Amino acid sequence: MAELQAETAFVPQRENAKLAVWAFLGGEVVFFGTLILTLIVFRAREAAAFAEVRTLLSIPLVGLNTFILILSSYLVVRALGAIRAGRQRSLLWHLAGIFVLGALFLGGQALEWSTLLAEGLSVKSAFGTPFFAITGLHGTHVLVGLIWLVYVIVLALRGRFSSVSYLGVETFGLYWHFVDVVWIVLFTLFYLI
Amino acid sequence: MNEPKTHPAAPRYAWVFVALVALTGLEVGASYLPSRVRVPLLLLFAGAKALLVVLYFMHLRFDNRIYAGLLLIGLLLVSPLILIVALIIPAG
Repeated sequence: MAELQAETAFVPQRENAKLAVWAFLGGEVVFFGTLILTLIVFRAREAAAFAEVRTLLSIPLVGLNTFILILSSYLVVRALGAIRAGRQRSLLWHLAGIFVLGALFLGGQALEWSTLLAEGLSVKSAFGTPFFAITGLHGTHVLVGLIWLVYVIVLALRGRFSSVSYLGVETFGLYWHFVDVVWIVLFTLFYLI
Repeated sequence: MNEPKTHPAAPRYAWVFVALVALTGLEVGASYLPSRVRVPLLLLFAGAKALLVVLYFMHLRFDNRIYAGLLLIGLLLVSPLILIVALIIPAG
């Protein structure tokens, strides 16, 4: 009976958690999409303010931060490949690398925020409101990802993953890649256009 | 039901990573171009990067199509709104 259910389900039952994460990410698309909508409105109404602040933004620093996040996404793929091949130690090294890169990203963002605030960019300004709100919410997602990652690392240390059981790594990876995709869009909209 | 295809080998992921870094470099370079050229070019680069991550790193190209459908529902809900607002606001 259980086998029959597994075969007739839309996705294999062992992948229910993955299905749930994808459903959550679908909701996140709407969440960040709405925030981007707000940004477009702010930008169109306050074009002069946006152009003025553009000179304050450090493209090299944020470009480096973008590279850090992309590299962390690549390490996630490598981590998944490692555990699929049954390489527990390699999985742990990759997960540790992702944690360091995620923390570096947040550090870079904190540095950027403090520099902008010191230069007089107000949270209540036409640029500051959407900028701090949206990049802050993205940063919160990175922080949640890091907390989730600590949990995955603890499970990995306890030997809970193997070449046939790695859904915990995979679902974390989906979330982390999504956070990377959101940053790709925000990097373009806030800093480059 | 769509059976997942075989996941790509590690070297292909490395190429995706290289492409993402190269596109980021191109984006930074393009940000200094005049806005008439800059805006469509940057949107194209960002779209390409997002697609690479979703299709390869998130395995959507090789996984069950149900997952792609869930992501698409979110996109279909929000993208018409973004498009309408982007078209209306500058004129208003």
